[in-house]
Amino acid sequence: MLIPDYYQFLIHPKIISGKCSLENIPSELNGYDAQKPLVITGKNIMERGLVKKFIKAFYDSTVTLGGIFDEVRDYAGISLARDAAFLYKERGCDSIIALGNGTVVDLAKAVNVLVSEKIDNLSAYHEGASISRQLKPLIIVPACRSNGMEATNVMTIDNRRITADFLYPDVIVIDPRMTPGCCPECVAESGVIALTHAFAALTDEAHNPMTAAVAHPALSYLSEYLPKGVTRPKNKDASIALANASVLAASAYSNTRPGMADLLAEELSIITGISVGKYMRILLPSLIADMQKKKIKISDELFLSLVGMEAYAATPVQERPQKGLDAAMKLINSLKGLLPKSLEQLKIQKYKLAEVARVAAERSAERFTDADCRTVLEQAWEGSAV
Amino acid sequence: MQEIKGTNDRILEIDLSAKKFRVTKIGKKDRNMYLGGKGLALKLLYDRMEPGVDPLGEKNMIAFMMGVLMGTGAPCSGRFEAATKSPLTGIMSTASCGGPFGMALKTSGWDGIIISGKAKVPVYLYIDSKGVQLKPAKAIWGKDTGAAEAVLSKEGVGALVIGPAGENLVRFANIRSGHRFLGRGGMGAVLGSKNIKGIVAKGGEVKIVPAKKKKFDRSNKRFFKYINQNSITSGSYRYYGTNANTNLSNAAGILPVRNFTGGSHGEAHKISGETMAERFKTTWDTCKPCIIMCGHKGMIEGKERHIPEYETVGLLGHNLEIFDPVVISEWNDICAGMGMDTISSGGTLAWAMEATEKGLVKTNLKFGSTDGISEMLRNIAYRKGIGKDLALGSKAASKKYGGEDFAMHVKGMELPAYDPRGCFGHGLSYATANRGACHLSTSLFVLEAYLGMADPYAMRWKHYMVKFMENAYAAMNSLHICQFTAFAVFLEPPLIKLTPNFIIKILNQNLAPLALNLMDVSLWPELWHATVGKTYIPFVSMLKFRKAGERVHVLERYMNTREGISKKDDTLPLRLLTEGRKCDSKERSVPLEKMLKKYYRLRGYDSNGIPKKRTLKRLGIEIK
Repeated sequence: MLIPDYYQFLIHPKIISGKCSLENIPSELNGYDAQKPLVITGKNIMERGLVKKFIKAFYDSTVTLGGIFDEVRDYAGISLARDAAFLYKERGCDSIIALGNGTVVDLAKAVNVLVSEKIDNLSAYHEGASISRQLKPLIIVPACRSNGMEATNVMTIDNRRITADFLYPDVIVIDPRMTPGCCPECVAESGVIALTHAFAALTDEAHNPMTAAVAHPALSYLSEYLPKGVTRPKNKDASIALANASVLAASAYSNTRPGMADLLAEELSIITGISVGKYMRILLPSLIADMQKKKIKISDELFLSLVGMEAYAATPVQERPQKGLDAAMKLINSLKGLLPKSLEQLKIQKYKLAEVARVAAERSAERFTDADCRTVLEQAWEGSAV
Repeated sequence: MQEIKGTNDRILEIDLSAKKFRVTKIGKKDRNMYLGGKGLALKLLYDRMEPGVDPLGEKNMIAFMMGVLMGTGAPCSGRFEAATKSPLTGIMSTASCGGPFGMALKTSGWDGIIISGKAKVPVYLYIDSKGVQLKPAKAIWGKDTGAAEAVLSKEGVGALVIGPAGENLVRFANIRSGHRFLGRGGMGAVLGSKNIKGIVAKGGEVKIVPAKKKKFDRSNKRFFKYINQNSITSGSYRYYGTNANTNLSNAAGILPVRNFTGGSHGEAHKISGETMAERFKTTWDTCKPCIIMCGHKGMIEGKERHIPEYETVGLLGHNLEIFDPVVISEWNDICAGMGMDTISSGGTLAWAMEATEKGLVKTNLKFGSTDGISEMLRNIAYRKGIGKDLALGSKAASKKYGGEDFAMHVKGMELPAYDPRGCFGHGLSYATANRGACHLSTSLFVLEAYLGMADPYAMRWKHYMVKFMENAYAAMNSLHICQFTAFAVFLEPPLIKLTPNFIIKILNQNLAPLALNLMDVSLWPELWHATVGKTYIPFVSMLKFRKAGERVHVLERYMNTREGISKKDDTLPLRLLTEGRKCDSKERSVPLEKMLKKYYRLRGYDSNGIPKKRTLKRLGIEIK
């Protein structure tokens, strides 16, 4: 195994996964000398009765919930973050628990910055200032659909991404009670996002032993449980495995550079308001097909993670990278009719692709050219790789 | 002079890239099914345009279509319609205008023009009865709309022009004709993208007469009578203009204040139509022919100016917390000169003010302050500084900078000046209107908030009211007649006139289908039939007229669904769905979802908002 000349990897969130994990939250808070968390959650989580189950876990603890802010919907913006920060201050809270995924977590991170830094907007960070000190304790309890960013050092607020090491949550608690079966589409989307993140981490030229170590179990879980999860969304093992896969993939993703599928999906999502997962399901096969066509060299760890040791050992060394791509393609295509297959099917207007490619290429810091992005997008528009 | 009975049925199709034009005849079937104006414009584009074209590309087309009644002398009939794919919303957009261009084109013997392609250099089009000439526009390119129109008007009776905003592809640039505008959807940018500065029609070459003059005169007389006895058309609008709505909206709690965070304001009276009429000694300055005369001009600070319409006052006034009629008039003039829609301009400025307040963008704009607004309007028109991004509209700006939750638009088009949290039916209408947030799709706020003929906070039957009004207004815009005549036609027939409002309210609340179908709208189909020489059959002709309206509305919807529109787009800004207002003791938000489901079912759409095949078949719309 080659030793890289240089690499860095930050492992931050403590992960607590398994039965009765929620009951660990009070002691985790005590460890941070916190007693009164503000719970931030979404309307849909509240409607599904998960908040009630969550509160029950605190019955025998010394922790007092400072308040429950359940106004989060599909958009995380500064207006809502200010409202939640106001509640945090008014109730004298000292920590934050985000119950949910996606925008709930983004909002919780934004609130954490507002209350820790004692500011009322994020303009300085939008302009490139860095968050330079420890924030208040933040615990994340994933529930249902993930956008893959929960365990990362990234928050997207008002469509703008802010990255800082202090944005990592402190603890992630994965409890089967909080990850009941979502709809098959939600499971598929969350799985595809985790797959895209892990794929980016493993295929990036700058990947290192640690990203591979974290991405490997994520891909293994996905390979085994994603097909099961979409056919049987209420299967508890699959729910827990996929929630873990999301967290692990995100951890690897935080320590690597976003891949082309990530960048293109994000840009398309901002323009159209359609979730990134749907785009990743279309873009990843197109990217893989492009990589196969161009015979891009990738590490054979992708193959190992997706098919396991036996098949890996039985395959000649030179065939492993290509077979890894085949296996990834097979896994994503196992989602069958759950998600759209082409950008055309999503009725994305073709003339918009040029701008999407331009922005994604710009954001990739010269790793991908405009033309590379166009090629993948055009293939995705037709859905020919799916 | 050649005499034409009703319509000439000739369309001029201009391909700018090939520098060619051809004459097309409108078929009888299309005329019967889609009338003229909006309906025919959409049908002709549906036949010619593929979905997915770039609104600012060569393949996009723009149609200008005259009304059936234009030139006959029917009151308020001097209107024409434009249709294109909007660069603001990316879907079909239509707009109506009462400027002199329409009459000039029709009296040049054309019922409409369709423009495709792109000219290599800036040009203007000169149209007479023989065809079209492309003339160099170098001398007027860059001029504001007033100056450009003054030049072009020397060559013909009526002109259309764009301003610097259209040339610079501002997504909400409009097109001017006289003092009137094809206001919404960025039609000016479409002309700008085709390198067209203006279009001038010679006019006065043919005379238009109704085919059945006696019947026409009889209906026309009744029409005049209704308009002249209705309290809105012969009262408030005639004397105070559309800005008579300010006091009404304020009293009803639907006046947008501070980017739709409030619904009424103690200082609103300072910019009301009544105050402006008194302060600026207003007189009439209207479309022709018109007997409502809602357009006004007055002496403002020693200069004769057009008095701003209600929407302008709303979006550049109280929604920015500005209550100075003089500065609002100045901004109205800047927008007119630059060729920009005042609703979208104001809506985008309000977003920029709130975004500035929340640290998302850096501008010197502030609610309640007039500082920097004139400069920002010009920066938008010339796409300078942050004006470059604001020129894309509030939706695109909020995608880039954040603040989508307070970007007040539907499908990319900024909201007009009626807050639907005080009129739920109008909220449904905003969400389902084909071109985006449109107050002219139903104008249901009048029944709900102004006249007390429907409970503004009830959800029951609102889906039916919206569908009924959408169909009626689509038919009117195809006929094409001023929508304000609806007040007279709907409310003046004896059955409605003599029924007390509270009884109408109860009927609308509980038996809306019965109450609405009792409304006698026979006047419009009578005029239509008399103009084109068809035999009018009571009730049957009225049903055909209403079905034509339904067909036009559903065709537009179907065209939009081919561009990707579905249920996800039929929504309202988050603020209207989640936040209450202090002026409402119950702090209500719009319960859209429940009304929307019923609306789709009634319309014959599937649960995703796509017209079903059998709906299209029933209406005779060809499925592509």
